[in-house]
Amino acid sequence: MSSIFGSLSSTAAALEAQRRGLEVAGQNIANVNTAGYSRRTMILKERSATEPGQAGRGVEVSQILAVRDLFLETRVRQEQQALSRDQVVAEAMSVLEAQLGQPGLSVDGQLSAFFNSFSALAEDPASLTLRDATVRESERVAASFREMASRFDQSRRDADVSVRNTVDEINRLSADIAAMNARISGVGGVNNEAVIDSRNVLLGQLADLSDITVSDASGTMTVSLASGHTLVNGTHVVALEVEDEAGTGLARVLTDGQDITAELTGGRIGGWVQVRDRQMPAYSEMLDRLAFTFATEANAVHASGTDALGNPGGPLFSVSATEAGAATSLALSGAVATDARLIVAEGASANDAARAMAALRDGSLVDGSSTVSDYWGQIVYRIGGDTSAAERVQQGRQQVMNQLQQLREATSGVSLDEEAASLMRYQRAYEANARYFTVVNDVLEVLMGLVR
Amino acid sequence: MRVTFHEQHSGTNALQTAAQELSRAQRAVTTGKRVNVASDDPLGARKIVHERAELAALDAYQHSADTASSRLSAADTALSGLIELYTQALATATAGRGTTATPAAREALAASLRGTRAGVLTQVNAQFAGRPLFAGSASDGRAYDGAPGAWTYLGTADSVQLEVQRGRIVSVTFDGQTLMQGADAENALDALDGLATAIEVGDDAGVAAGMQAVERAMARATRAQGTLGADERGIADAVSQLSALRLASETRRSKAEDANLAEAITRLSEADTAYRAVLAAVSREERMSLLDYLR
Repeated sequence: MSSIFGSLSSTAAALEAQRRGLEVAGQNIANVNTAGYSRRTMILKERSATEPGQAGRGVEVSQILAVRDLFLETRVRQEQQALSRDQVVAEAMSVLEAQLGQPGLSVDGQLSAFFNSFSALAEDPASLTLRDATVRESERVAASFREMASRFDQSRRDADVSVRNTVDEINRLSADIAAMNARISGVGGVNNEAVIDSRNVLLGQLADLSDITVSDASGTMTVSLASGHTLVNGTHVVALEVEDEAGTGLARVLTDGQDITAELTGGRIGGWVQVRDRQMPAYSEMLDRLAFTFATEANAVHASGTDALGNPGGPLFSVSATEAGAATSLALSGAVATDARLIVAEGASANDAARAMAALRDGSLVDGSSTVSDYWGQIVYRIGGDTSAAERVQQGRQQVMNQLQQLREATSGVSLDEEAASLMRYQRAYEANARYFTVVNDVLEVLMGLVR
Repeated sequence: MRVTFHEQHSGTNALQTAAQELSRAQRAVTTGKRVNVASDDPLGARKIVHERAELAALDAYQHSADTASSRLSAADTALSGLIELYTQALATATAGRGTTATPAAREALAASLRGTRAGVLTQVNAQFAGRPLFAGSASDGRAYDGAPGAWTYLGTADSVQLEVQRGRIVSVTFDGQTLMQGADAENALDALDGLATAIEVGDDAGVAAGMQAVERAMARATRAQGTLGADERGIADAVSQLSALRLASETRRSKAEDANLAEAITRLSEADTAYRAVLAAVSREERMSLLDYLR
């Protein structure tokens, strides 16, 4: 049979347990808005009897656990990588398509103005005013190609800067995670959960930046890129490096000296690499093809005619020797720019060359199947279609992410209703235990009175 | 499933989506365009590029057709003037033929013919917008110049042609030498001068030959006017077709690019309602909790 002093002792333990319960509820309420926080739950354990006939020795705190679902944590991270990549692509594409300009007011508008200027010149080939107008429109159409190429190139450079910044951020997060691993392996008890929560937040941030896989099988957390290259192994960090690519100056991402740029397919860095290395070059290539075809065809017509001084026409535009870089290099011939009389209008008759130049608008020049305007339409369609698809994919991915986050919240999130109920429960339990303590104390007082 | 206080997160996303829809609907109403960026309708954007290029081409053809029409009209007037002058010349020459006319009368008739020749010279040197109409492709100066009895063609044998519609090409200047001389040994100006001289000296054979030359010149002018009339009708047809093509192209462009305002306003109203509904729903998520009852 337990002693009355034993009852005081077990009541004190029960009071402590209920106080801890209040503390856990308070901790949960305090962190209701903390990103990555997993709600804590307290496991109570009955203190079993140590003597025959004893009801028990009250209660004690067995564990304070963070409620997590590892499957959901992993799924959220995986989805985050894809969502971040799609967000980056959608954002970059939105910027690019805004730079395309309105249909009819961009490169296509300048092409039409160029052809129209030669059409007008055909009406009066000797007019110096019309020749000046033709020179100006030729300059403008070349400038519109250069400007568009510059915008495409700038978008690519912006993506490159983002790749470099993201690599720095990945290295910083990897170092922080390794530091967390060191703390987790060195600290036990409740504080561990807080560090694990913080590490999970960092893993979420890392998943936002790159496609990672996390393995915690042998007690040592390993974070690797999806390609298998290790970023963090316990407390050891394998930092990513950046090297400038010869020729382009674009960043190549290395780990242990190996170029893994093409393997970065997820997270924000995957999005930037996709925009920089796959999408932008494809659009630039189309723009270069259009510029090259337009310039070479226009030059051929110009060379076939005679200028106002009676000399055979020279090239109207200067352009690169191959398609690569044609849009950037396209410029009006210096000689024509300074003397409008060098514009060719005359061919076999007075205005044949001017009419032939104007008729280029209807020629299936690009790839033998598209007019120059229609090919610009293809570029617009391609960029618009890719932007639209990227936005749709990102919206769909966001829905999935929302669902997963709701599921995670359903498991690990803090419900203020629940915590309020816990507060009441532990408060009442504390009050009841305190009352019991008073009763035991009163009984002890009676007993002490007998002695007196 | 446990419901936590992080539902607001998804509510904020829904708010963002509704705000984007509202913004898109507002943009369609304020700009009057359903395609403001290519991603609004990629295929539509491509169609707009095509139709705008087509409209620009049609406008260029329309401009060429207007220019051609004006030039041909001016040339037509000049040719009518030539024919009238030739008719006058023939009447004058007929009066001076034979032996009935006195030397003074013949002299007066010769002077009249020389005046007619001056009129012919003016007509054949007619210009439009500062460019000669009957000097081939020569861009300045006069078609004919010289002195009585020695008129020289200064123009070229070709002509300026304009494309007034895809594949429809019309000449807007004419070879003055073909008009004034054709296969004859001398041009109409010299023939008129010769005719005046023949009347002056009473050379009936010369008068007859001169009248025949003027008649041939009139036939050439009449033929040229006929061809020109056909071209004018062709331009009128082209203009009519260009108008129809432009209307069709503009309709296609408008269908692809312009917003149906009634539809756009309805969408704006729907998007506004949806946005307000999401706002209300999200604000309700800031709901009371059990904590509010713990007093």
